[in-house]
Amino acid sequence: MAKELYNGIYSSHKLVFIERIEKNIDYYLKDRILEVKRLGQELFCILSKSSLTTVLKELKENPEFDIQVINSINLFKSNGRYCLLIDLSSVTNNYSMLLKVLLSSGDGASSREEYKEILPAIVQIFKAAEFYMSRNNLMQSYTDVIFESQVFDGLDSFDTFLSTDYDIIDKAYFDTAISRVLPQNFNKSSSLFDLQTAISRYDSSAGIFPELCLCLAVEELLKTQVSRRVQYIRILFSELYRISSHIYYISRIARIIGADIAYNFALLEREHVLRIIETMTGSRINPNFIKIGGIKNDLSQERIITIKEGLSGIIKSVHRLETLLLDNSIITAKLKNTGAADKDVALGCGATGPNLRASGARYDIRKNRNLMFYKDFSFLVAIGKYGDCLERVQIRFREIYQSIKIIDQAVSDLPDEFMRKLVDISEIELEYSEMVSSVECPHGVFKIFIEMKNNQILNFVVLGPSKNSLYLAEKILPGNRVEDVELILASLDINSGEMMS
Amino acid sequence: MLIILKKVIYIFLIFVINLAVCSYLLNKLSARAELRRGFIASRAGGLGYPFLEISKYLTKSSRLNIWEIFLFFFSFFIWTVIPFSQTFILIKVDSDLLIAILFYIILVFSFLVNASRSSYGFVWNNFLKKVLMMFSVFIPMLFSIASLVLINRTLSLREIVGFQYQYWNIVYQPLGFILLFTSAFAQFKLTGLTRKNTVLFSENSEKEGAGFGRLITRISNYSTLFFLLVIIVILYLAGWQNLYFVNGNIMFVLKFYILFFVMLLLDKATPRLDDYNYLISINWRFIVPVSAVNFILTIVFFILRNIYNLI
Repeated sequence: MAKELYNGIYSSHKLVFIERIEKNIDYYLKDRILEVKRLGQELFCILSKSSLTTVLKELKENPEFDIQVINSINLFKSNGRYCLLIDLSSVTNNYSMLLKVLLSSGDGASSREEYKEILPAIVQIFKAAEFYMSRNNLMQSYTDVIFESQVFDGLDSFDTFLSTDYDIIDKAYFDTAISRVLPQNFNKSSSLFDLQTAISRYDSSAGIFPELCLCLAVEELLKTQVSRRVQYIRILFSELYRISSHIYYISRIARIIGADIAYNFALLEREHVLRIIETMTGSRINPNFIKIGGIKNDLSQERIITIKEGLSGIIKSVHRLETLLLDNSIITAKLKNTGAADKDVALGCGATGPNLRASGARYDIRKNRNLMFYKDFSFLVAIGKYGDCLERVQIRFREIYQSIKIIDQAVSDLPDEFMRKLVDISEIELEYSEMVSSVECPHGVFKIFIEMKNNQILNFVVLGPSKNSLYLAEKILPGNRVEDVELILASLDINSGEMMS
Repeated sequence: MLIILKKVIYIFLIFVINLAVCSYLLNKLSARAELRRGFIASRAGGLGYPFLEISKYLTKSSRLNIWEIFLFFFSFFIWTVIPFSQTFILIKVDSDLLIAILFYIILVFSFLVNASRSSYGFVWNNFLKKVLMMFSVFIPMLFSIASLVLINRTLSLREIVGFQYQYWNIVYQPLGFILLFTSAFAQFKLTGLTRKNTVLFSENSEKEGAGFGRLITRISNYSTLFFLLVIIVILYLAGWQNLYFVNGNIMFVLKFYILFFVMLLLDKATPRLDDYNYLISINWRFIVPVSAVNFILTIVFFILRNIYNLI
């Protein structure tokens, strides 16, 4: 029993807690919810349109649930009927849930009308939902400064509209209409094999996390038990990618500030990390390394030694980079008090990941959930206090050190197990089923929702963290100078790959 | 007449050679400092790079405006009043220090006007901000030059160099030297040669295309830097005075390049100085008061020594 608990077949204490919430939902909202079930480590409720507001109100006000954050709202078509997918989470109670709201059956246009009708009601309960409303009048009437999508390097998925008083920003608005292809349309009715090879494109700086998320979801569906060695290697690679992504982030900040030496040094360091990844996976950006039920290649002893040798170099140079960047009073003076977001604002916008932790909320699903074998490793969750640009950069540096610590442990404690054969995707037999899965990617919590039958993907919704970061930017930009817009946007680490209209 | 022509040619040659060497050093050193390989203009260490850069500018056609013509003339005029040795000077004036500074201010002002001009009209907001940034860093420079003039009791650059035959002015005015160097460094960062400066290469002027006008701007950039370095060398580091048995001219060149090297390294080590508030705050809260204190101390010293004969 103890061993099975340890291996994660039976739920950990956190999951027992979710079961209790599931029972509570059954008790409190019995009449209003059509169905409630547990998908992986998240709750999933199906309800009708009419009961949505009462359910949301109950979820927010009842201390048993205590939902504070609305992460995203998506409109998609499931089984010929339009549905609304609302992603909610509670940081204090440490769980998250998805609401699938069934709209009245109709064509696309009528459902969009319905969507527009529902949104104001949601906004009254969760203010963050206003980000999903159409706000064209805001764009036209107040704007006097416009940054088009190509202006900021790496942030080409949205246009920035600002209304200013001299050089101080009064109001900010982001229009994401430029990124038109929705993943739920793009990957709809593709096979699992196709999705698996293409999914790493949703994250341009850390491509392994979408792959990992998909594989965890399908493994959960198939009830496949993955060996300990495989999970360790997955953790190892995801942490390597986290380091690479964070160093890339730091290089972007250095470029904007004009610290040339730090910029080039950071890119060189990222090159070292990517070189390690490349020798193992054969690819740098789209690794296609994590497969359902396992990984592409096992690590040989020589490669483990290469990682060990590389780590000592990386930790030294990251330390040098930190000294180069943050021991400079001109740079810290520029970063300090720029784009500060306090805890309530960050939570209200649904920000996750380092952006939320910089504001002082301790929310890291590597620690808070039973995610892979992260419980075997000793590491700290870096937390800031003021949530300004300086703290966001510092949090990244501290996370790099913690990732190095995790990799060091994973390499030295790598279990010597026989690797099982991978799951043959073409032979998967499944009834119509839904699954949610989430991982802690460098930008925040990356979550996917899939509906599949056999090996065919019926629906695929990406619930990425960058949209919330963008909404957070809308909230924190007022009061800052126009000069600092690029710096603040870059400091929020917005990933263009997952942005959508 | 022939002598003057000879001098003009010499000065022009010195300017061009310095231009080639400094642009070569600038590109090579900044590439090394930024951990990249640098340009690959030619196999022989990239010596042909400066000439290639000129041809790059000349191949594009663009219109010249009046401010670029101003820039062109003043970047050469400035060298007529600056002495390179006791006799090597085009126009011998007693107060050449004042005239040189005046020319320099006109040069910088034309820079700012030129940079604020864009195809959408003149950007007043940017222009005023840049003028404030630029001329606020002039104040410590003027203070330290004034205190130096008080000590040397002359406005002629040749006499100032002559005054330093025994001890360099840096011995009398160490704080003034640091302040002048800081001010010159800030000016170099703002109107600098690297792409880091936001005063000259603003978002408007960047997109207007290269051409002969850009070449002139670039040359004037170098001219301002050379002026700042030469004025520091002449005022504080004894210009062309011999050092024991070393020839004065060699010393002049050595000091010039050492300062150039130090400036480049400092430029690479510090981030872009485009933060208006930060620049204004450090300037008005620290550099200007210190230079004012230095100036007042010098005046007190001057009065005690020359009026009351106490020192």
